[in-house]
Amino acid sequence: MSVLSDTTGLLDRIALSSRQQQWLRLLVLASGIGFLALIPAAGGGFNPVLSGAAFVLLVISVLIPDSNAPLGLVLYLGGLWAVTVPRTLGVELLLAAVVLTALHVACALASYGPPGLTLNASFLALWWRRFGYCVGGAGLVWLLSRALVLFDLPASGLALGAALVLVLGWVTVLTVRLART
Amino acid sequence: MATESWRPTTTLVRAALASVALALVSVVTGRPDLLVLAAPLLVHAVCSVARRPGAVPEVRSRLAHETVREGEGTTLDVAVDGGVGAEYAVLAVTLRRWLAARPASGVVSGSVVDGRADLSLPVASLRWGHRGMGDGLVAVRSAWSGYELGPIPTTTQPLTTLPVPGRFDSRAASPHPIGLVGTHPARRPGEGNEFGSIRPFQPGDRLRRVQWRVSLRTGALHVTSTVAEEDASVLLVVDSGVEVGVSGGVHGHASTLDVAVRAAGAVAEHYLVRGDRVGLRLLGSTHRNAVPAAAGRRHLRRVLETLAHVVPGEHPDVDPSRLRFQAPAGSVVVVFSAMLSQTAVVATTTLAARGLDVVVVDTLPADVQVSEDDRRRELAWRMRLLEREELLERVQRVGIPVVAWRGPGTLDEVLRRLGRRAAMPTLARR
Repeated sequence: MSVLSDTTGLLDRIALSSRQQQWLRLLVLASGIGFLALIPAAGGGFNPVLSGAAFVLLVISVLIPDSNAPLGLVLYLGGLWAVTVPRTLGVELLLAAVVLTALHVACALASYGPPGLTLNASFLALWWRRFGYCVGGAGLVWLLSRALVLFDLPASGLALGAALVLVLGWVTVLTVRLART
Repeated sequence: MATESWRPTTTLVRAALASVALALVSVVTGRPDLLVLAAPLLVHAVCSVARRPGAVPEVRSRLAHETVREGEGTTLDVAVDGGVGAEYAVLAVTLRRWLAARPASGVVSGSVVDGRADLSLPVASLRWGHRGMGDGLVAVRSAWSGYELGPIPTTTQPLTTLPVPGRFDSRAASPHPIGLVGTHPARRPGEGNEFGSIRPFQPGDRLRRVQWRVSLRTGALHVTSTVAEEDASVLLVVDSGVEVGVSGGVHGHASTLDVAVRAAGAVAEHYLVRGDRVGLRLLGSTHRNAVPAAAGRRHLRRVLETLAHVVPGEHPDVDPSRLRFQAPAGSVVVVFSAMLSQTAVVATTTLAARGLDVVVVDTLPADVQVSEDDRRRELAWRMRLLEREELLERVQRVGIPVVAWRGPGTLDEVLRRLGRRAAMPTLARR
């Protein structure tokens, strides 16, 4: 039975969720809304239809963070950014990366166990550090991108090819590692 | 049992796919901003994949105590061992009726340190009985929530909850003490503390027993004699064939069987502590339905464990003519019953017909909850109560006293009355 079609089970899970899980779901919601709010701030404008669809996905992700709905949401938000926001390396981009990471991490923490689970404070502290590493990675790429923009390098087929090889290499690694399990 | 293996979590799949998609679009379209959005997900995916666990941990569970009293707690200890690469373990226990846990959800979690996680769930049993405990599921996740294992089912542990004996005390002596040594004054003279009579001195009497006042007054040597003190044999008969009322556990409303089991436990404890012999017979149980009369504190545990194994209404239509009570002559039989079935009445009257002293303890609580705003059920219950009155009258007509359970002193008056009746001269057929 689908998680969405089993409404009774879904409502039970929400009703039985611990205070911490409720806060994490709230964080997912706040992060999603924050990301949608950053799109117009970054110069992307506001499209009610596209934002409405994102909001629907967001609500589903809040209700079932342990499903693949957050994957669809992250992909949709990334696509929305790519479609609506012009090429930018402003502070809004870094903020968008931070809230997207927060959404992703909150979903991860909310999906750790059954309703009623409360994670240890030390474990949350560990994840807080991990959140920092992820945001640090985004910050590093953001700084590198800004530095490269300053050099105003010409377009290079070699660089594009190398980047594509890198991405495809990563895809291969993932395919092998995930398929093996 | 299916072989468990580590599999990627939705978190890892999300991080991996989203990072790949954003990075690919970023490279193809030449948008570095998308790479910035992909970077945190990429960090997460790389860290998750790099710390992929290998070994499958073993899950073992045990209860700290296999026997507890009502309302007492114990802990369910679950050990996740050998999980190299595992980071966090979650245990979710199925809480059956009459079991409470802290936290109330029955879900606990803990970090895996050096491949081992010890999860401990405090649980309490709220009602006497024998039930399974500890069946649940364990799930383990690797670092960065990359891979998960399980849910792995945990094994059910048997937990016996002994009834908390109600408060009971009795100052009345047994009407027919039949043993050798004990605390109940017997009808024959012997060494004891209870005053018997003052009689003329006989060879063999101890000098300290000489009653000097009477001796001086009468001019002949008199001594104070005592009656022997013997132990009594008590047979407890618990009617488990019918249970009326909704039990609320140790802190809530009591059903008829709750009252019967706790009262029987209290009476057994009282007499066994005083050194008497106590036997137990369950009416309506198919197995472990009899405990022979014996003495001692270890025997109390045996009686309470048998009471804990009572299953309400397991065998309500037991044939009273086939019951063997094994009650020695002179035993006091205490029947704990709500007197709602013919079986209990027939068993009680059969025991009384054998010349045993029988007392019925009415276990129907005053606040028993039967009907819940249902007029038909209410009417049926009233009819049942009328039938019960008729059954009680039948029991009382053959000289069996019926008393309601009220804790300390419940049996005092009836035991004294039975004692007086036993001491009275009786007509004998010649």
